[in-house]
Amino acid sequence: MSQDTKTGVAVGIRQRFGNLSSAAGALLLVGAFAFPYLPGTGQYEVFLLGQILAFAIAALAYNVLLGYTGLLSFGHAAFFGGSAYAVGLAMQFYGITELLLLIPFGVLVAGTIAVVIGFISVRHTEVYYALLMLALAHLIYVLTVKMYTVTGGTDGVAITTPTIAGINYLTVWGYAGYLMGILYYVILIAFVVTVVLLWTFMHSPFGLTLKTIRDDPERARAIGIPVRRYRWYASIMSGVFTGLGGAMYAFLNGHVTPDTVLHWARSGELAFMTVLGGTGWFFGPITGAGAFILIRSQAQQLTEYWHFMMGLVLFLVIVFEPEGISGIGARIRRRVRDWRDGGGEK
Amino acid sequence: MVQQLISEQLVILLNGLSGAATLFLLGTGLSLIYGMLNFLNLAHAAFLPLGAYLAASLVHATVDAVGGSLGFVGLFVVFLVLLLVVVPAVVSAIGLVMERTAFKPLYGLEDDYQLLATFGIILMMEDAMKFIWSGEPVSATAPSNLLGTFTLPGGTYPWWSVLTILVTALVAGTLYYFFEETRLGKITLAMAEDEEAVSFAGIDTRSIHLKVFVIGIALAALGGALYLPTASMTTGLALEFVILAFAVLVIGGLGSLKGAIAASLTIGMVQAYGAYYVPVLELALVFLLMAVVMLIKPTGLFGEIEA
Repeated sequence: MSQDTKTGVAVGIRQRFGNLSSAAGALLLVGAFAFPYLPGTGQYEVFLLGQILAFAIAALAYNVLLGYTGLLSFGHAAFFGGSAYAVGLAMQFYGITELLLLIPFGVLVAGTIAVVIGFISVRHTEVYYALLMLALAHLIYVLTVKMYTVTGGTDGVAITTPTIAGINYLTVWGYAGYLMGILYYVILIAFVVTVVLLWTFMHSPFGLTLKTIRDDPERARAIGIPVRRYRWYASIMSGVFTGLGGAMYAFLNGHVTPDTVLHWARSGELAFMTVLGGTGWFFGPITGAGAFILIRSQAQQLTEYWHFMMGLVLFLVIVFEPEGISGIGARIRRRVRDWRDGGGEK
Repeated sequence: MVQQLISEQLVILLNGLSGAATLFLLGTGLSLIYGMLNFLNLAHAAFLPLGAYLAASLVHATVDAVGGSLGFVGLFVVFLVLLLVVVPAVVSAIGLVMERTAFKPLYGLEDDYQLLATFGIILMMEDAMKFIWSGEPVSATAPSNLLGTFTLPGGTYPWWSVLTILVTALVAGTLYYFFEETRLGKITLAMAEDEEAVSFAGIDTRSIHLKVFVIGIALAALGGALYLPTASMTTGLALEFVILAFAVLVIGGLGSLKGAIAASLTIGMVQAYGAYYVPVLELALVFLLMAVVMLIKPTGLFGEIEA
């Protein structure tokens, strides 16, 4: 490329910008790894960040459907809670305590649920898809509540501290050491793996196919894409990673109940985080999950009516800024660039 | 023995019908608003607990104030006026204000965004109710106690539930008459088909929008007021009623009154028989039914309007 053409300049800017944001990303990542050792960081902060990361995994996975495939699901609690319950029940009934076995098991169960209810749901789109997912996921919720001999009903299942690679860190380090020294890193690594894998998938021909379907299903069908099958694949991928998030949530919380992980309001919360962060950006849901957990933890300290605040935020975001926090960010960046570029002439 | 069996079946039937009554009052509004206004309002079902909470406050206040001084007939009339008129009217007024402020900006949005924004609204309504009436479950059995129960071989049954069934049947009949026989009803149906054409004919579609919306909300509130004397209510039930309302919408077909009647009767019976014979599956059967109907006939039993 010659340097004096517009394209050359644009590429240059984009590269510099890309380098800048990847540098920021690297810095954030280093910060995340060092987080438990930063001055002023206690158990609470690590727990909070762990929760943000667990929900960020699920929200990133949620966005595979909402942002990339154009499907709104009100049934993701089935994957999130399915995995969390799989972990809890495997511990309770089979005495499996090894985290490295429990995670794949939870993910596998979430994936299986996604294969089944995804297959059924993708027969429809739009509202029908959302409601079919809602019905099927709520079926799982209701069954879990009713089958209390197996699932403990509304009391839920306790999740004991797992061993990691055979070592029981709780007895070695105590709870704080276990949380800050190992569990947090398990969650962080799961998060990084999710980001890398989903980024790769979404920037592969597979991801482009999904985007084509989102933008124009008819055209996608016309150029020979089996639309329904790809929507099914997207549902499965989304379900698997949502399940990974659910497993992380289970380990972090130590207890799951139908209302905290399987209720449809949980699906709504995942949708909320994704929209809040911005569905149009790959990293949007991470911001959304972070904002959600932070707003919630602050609101909970101020008032018991934090649902009101969450509802208000969701409403305002959709009415005034449907592109979410990422949309606001992009607008600010654009303003700054316009101001810098045109600053001298004005 | 035979008598026992008949009375058993009668109780299940009555349970089914009174359950269907609540579901009909809840789901019809959602269905009409979606069918006529093309607005998917997740928050619609929250008006049922709102009606119930308001009814509880009014009933308790009445009993405290004039409970002893009125005779049976006087008290009964007061309760009927409160529950059948005052509660729906007050909740409609609240709904009208919300329509102007919260719902109006959402009309043009895609269905997905309407679902999400109204999810936000239901969270706010839930907490607002919690704030006003505290989080405690409420009940107000006075109207039901007043009417008492009747005896069946092997059990008793509250007259209030029979009243609920009758009032709902009357409402369903009135709505049916309205849509099939009156000019305004026909205009409303025509609007669902082609709003622009109706608007070109010089009819104020905006005011009809409002009427449909307010009628829907009044029905949900009435459902709550009638439901309360025989059951207790918590704010958390708002989130549970939402999916039942959607079950009515989906099974019956979007925007179809006949569909809403058929769907609420079906769900009511499935719940009543389920609760009796397979209690574990009671609610699960409803969502199973919903999924099956969506797979076989996505437009619902009576749905003609394509979403």
